[in-house]
Amino acid sequence: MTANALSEKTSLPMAKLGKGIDYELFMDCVHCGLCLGACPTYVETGNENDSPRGRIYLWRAIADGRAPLSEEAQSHMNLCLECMACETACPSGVQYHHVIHSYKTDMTMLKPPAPTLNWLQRWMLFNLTPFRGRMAWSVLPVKIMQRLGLGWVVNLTGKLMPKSLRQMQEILPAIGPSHDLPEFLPAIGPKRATVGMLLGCAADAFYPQVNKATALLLQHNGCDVHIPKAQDCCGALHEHAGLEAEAARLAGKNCDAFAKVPGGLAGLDAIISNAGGCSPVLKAYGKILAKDPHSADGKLFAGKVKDISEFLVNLGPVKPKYPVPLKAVYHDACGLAHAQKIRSQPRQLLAMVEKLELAPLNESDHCCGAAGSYNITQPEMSATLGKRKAGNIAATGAQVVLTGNVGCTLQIDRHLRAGHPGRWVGHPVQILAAAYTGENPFGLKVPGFGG
Amino acid sequence: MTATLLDEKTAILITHLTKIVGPDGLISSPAELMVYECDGYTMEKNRPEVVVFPRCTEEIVGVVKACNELGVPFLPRGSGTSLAGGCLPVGGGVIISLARMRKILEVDIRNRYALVEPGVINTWLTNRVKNDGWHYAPDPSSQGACTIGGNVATNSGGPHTLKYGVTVNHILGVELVLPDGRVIQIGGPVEEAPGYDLTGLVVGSEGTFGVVSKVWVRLVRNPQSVRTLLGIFESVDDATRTISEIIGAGIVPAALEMLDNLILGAVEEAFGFGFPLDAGAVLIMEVDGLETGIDDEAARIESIALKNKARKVSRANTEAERMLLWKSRKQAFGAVGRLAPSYCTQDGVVPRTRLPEMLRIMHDISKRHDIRIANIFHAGDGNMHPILLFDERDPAQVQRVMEASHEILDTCLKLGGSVTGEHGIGVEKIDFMPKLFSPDDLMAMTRVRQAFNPTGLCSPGKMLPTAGACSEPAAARQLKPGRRAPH
Amino acid sequence: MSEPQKIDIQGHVVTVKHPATQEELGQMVHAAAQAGQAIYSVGGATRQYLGLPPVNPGIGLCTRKLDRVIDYPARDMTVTVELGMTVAKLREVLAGENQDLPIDCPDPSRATLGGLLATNGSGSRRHGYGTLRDYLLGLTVIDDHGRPTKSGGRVVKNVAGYDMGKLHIGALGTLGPLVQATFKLKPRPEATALSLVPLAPDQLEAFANQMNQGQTRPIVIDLLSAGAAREFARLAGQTLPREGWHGLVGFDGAEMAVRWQLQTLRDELRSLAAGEVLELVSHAGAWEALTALGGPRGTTGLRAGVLPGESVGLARSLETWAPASGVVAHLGAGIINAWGDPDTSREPLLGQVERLRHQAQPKRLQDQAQPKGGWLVVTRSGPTARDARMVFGSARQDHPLMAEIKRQLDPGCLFNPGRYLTDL
Ligand SMILES: Cc1cc2nc3c(=O)[nH]c(=O)nc-3n(C[C@H](O)[C@H](O)[C@H](O)COP(=O)(O)OP(=O)(O)OC[C@H]3O[C@@H](n4cnc5c(N)ncnc54)[C@H](O)[C@@H]3O)c2cc1C
Ligand code: SF4
Ligand code: SF4
Repeated sequence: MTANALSEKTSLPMAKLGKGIDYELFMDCVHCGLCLGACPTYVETGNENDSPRGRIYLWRAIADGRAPLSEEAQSHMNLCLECMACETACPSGVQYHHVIHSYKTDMTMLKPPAPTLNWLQRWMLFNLTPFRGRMAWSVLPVKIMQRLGLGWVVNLTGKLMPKSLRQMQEILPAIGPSHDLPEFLPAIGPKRATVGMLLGCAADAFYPQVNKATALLLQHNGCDVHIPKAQDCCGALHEHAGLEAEAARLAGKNCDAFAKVPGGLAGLDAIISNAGGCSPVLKAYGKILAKDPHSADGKLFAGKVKDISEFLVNLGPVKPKYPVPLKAVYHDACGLAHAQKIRSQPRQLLAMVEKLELAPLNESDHCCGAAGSYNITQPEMSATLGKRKAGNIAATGAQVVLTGNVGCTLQIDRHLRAGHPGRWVGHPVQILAAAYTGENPFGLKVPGFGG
Repeated sequence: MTATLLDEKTAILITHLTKIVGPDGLISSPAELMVYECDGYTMEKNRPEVVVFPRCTEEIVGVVKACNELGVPFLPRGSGTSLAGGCLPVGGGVIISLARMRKILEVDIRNRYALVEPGVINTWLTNRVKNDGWHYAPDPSSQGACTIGGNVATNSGGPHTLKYGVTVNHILGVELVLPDGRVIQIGGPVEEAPGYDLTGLVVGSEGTFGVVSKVWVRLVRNPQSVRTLLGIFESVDDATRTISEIIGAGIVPAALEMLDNLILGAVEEAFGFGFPLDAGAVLIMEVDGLETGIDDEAARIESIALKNKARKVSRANTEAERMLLWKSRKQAFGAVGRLAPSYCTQDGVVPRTRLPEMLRIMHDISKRHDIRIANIFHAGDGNMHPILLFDERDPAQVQRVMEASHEILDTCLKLGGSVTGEHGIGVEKIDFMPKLFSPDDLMAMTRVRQAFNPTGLCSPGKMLPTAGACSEPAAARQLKPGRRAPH
Repeated sequence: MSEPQKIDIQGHVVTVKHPATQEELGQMVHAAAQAGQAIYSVGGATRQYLGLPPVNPGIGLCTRKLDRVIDYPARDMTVTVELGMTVAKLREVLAGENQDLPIDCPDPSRATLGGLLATNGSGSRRHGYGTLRDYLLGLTVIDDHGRPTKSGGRVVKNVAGYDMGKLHIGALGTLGPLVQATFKLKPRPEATALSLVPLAPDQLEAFANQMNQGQTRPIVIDLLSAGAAREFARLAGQTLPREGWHGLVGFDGAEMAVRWQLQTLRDELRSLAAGEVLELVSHAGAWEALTALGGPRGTTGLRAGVLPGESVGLARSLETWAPASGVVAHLGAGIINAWGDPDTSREPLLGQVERLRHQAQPKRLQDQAQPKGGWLVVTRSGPTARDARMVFGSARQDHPLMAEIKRQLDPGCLFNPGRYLTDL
């Protein structure tokens, strides 16, 4: 008997696996394989178990009781980035997110959440991120270390720190000065809309300047902007990890926070997010809160969520004044391109900026490997994808990389610094803000540009 | 053979193979193998014993030699998008996946060729050379996923093969690992070396001549200009007459694709492209070439369409519109799932002038068997993909679909056509081979296979109906319909 | 029509039979096989000089009487014919529908389609139109038992069964007599034009590079040596304004597009052309002349294939190889034809050929033991006796496989024994 066969014997009980999903959703997959070339994990490993078709087939076979939930099977399912590139590629309209969600949910029922994480990682992920205050606190030491001029400190702590914390540290970019945005910012020029703005947790801790730029963009486009302080993490990480109750709790909290702005939820024309990883989950609040007392608010809230680029293009953006003479590339965050089909809007906005050259990026919508907490749960694959992305970017010769999701920014920045340093990674709103104000974005010097 | 014996043999096989490709170069656990029990054709399933992922020619050679030593059958697999069961491991054995051989080894624009490993995905190659103004011409609808090796093995076509030809017209040579483990180069970047055109023979041999380990492909310059037209017709007849007349007028369009009313309804329901729901058929007509004169050519096509009672002919004015039109053509398949819980697609060919006749017969077949049939096809080539709609939970319908499919393919043959234009024989259509070819024809083909694959260990049970290769009765295997991707 | 009863194949005289039908031909094959006689397929006998002399005694089987049109559904743009039909006759049939099989053949009124297939004939238009392998849809061959075997079909798209037809194209009849085929056709173009561009000797490479990247999409990109250009002009009834190397560029298509391309080419080549460009618009004689250049000339003929980017280099060497030489290089494909009257008293032909053959190897492959790249074949050798090494050079990697296929399909070595590569 082979080792493999042995491990199947000792695998988990098969209980009621895969029963939480409408079987028709499996049937939608006609096994054509057209999604294969789009799946980043399959492209790397070449193993169809790491492809959408394979994962659907595997999970279905497990649900049918035809295959055991062996460790191998789990490892293939866990390797999924949930980037949803397969949904974009699939001509049959397979709703893969239901399939992977069904797996994740069943797994949390079978064993403690995210079993591959050690206590520290789990602590960081699930205790830290919901509390924006604590997240900011926890990155503080690293911030200080960075500002102390690394060298011996990092080396020393490198020896003392557990590997996972070291990884966390590598992820971190230079952190900008924090901006305490007020709860309300008025429109600049004639008022065209009233919006709420989400800050995100990681984004606000790592890149407060992006939130500042977003608010500024909204103001310049004639929006009154409400930024309630009581808002919390969107719950995306929990949702992806199959922690439904926690996700619902956070969703309810956010509904409450925005319901309290003057005019309430109904008074808002839109609720703006600038994080492509958060907005798909925010747009699903209706579903997440379906069985919650907040269900009505949840639906209302979800219907109002818009990505910043999506919102501005719809509104009809005001043309910015200042040229930004740079060569840039745009990386499609999965949450935008695949989950929300938002591809052209950010490019349209950037096209308004004079002298900004947007070079084509090969595999621009291929996942960079950030994928929520993926760079911590699957560090190897994450790094492989990060390197691939960095290589593609470097090949274009662009100085600037723009992407609409904080996770991607962190990941791309890290891998560029490692392999192809000297490039600036930011959010399209930062370039747009620069084009409106003439001020250099944080950490980027545009030659011949304002302050 | 008893189960334990088989296990022992498998264990030896795995030990052997692990030495060649390393522990992470193969899979052998039942759950993982499950995924490899079929390809795009799901009517028949069989699990391999092992799937190996060689990274270079030498590893393929090692695997093939090990299989020979142990007398285990093996077959190559690209992306497994075959719609004919080309990747079905008949009799089990080893699947040699080429998915880790994905390097574009050489691009030589001056000499108009590229050298690629077999696992390179079709579109990657074009992506690589498009900024230089070149492309790789064969464009199967599955091009975002299928491999060049798979394309070579099945001689793939696509919408633009009407003008540019199929895969074989674009392959200059291959490196082949023969079924006995010898490696030979056939053809190469220099054309027409003395000797038999083995390249032409290997293309389309469906993996029965060995494992293609490198491919020299021809690169083609992009046309200067393209015009894409959409013609809306009251009837399929009008549309097919238009096709004949366009060709008859000496115009060689880059593509001529047709969607009938049933498909249109589904597309519209799915994507809301704005096709008129009451149209009998639409034609996507594309011409390409020099900017000079291309508008004239487009105008000629337009007037031919209008003369044949097209309700409206519109032009894609921008590249974005053009892409949208093509997307609607390709997305059309996905929408079919909306029409019925199950469907089965065929790949028949008739001479294109017989399309109207064929469609009338098909209409009749559809009525007689009470099975709805949607049609989408490479009209310019006479290559049809009738999609039979049914519900597989109803055995009576399944039976009727089988009969209807059979009748359609028989009609194709009667009208002088073929039962496969691009998807291949594989295991699915193996029983049609005796209808297409005489025993003498088949004997000649068998003799050629004998030259490459004398032991028959490489891709057994494919392409040629050899006695003993299949255990299931022919009638049962022939036309089991099911939910399948059309092309 | 009185048919010759005997034919001289490279000095071997064989008796020729003239079957009237495919069945009769099959019976003759069967009978010959029984009698242990070899079978030498004969078409129009225009290219029997190719390959090697027969080795076994046998009979000639002439296909000329098999020349029926089996099916010509013009709207489908395919035609099914018997292969004893001459190329000219097929052209005539197709012209009625304004269609063509765009494969160049130097002697169309005598050459048969079977012969064209067996020798894989091609010419200048191959750049735009490809070769026979791009047109053959289905083929019937008589096997070693005298039975017809077919492959492919009559439709333009078909992947059922092995594409046996490819095997027979250029096989010099060594796998059996070809009796019937279906071809894909093309519409005849509205207009054609040839542009003859005089080139200074140091501009040949520049011309080749320009043609690879210019705006136009020619169907012919040839390079003609002085001798070849002179011959072309003579055949076309033109006078050359200037001696020396010439580029020959051909266009066809809609009249407007052809005119635009001529103009564009003139602009693009302005700095390259060494003199006045001769433009021959819709000039049937000029095309015939170009095709005829592919026919036998001089005492000795060579044909070589190299990477397109290296064809200029080899063309130069071939020009100086022999007195009275002519060289026509198809630059797009890297196929070069040359003729001349080499002086074999100084150096035997074999030595000359091997030197050139070495040169046909792409530079970066020259050191490799296994020849992978270029090739050079002696099509005609004048008085010099022919053997496999001289005519074809050393065997390539895939040769054993070819020999195995031959053994499978013709175990008794019935068909054209000795006439192609060793063991084929
Ligand atoms: C939705 C859809 C649309 C399609 N559209 C088209 C179309 O427009 N035109 C068309 O022609 N086909 C089409 N196909 C069929 C299929 O995509 C093609 O046949 C394709 O060429 C298969 O490539 P693959 O890499 O998936 O090969 P696989 O499916 O993996 O293999 C196909 C065959 O090739 C053999 N093979 C694979 N790799 C090698 C190798 N390296 N050496 C030797 N043999 C090998 C296999 O053994 C098998 O017999 C479509 C399929 C789908 C699902
Ligand atoms: S998920 Fe979609 S694209 Fe992938 S195999 Fe299934 S049907 Fe095909
Ligand atoms: S979500 Fe991404 S990684 Fe997961 S199967 Fe789909 S494409 Fe692959």
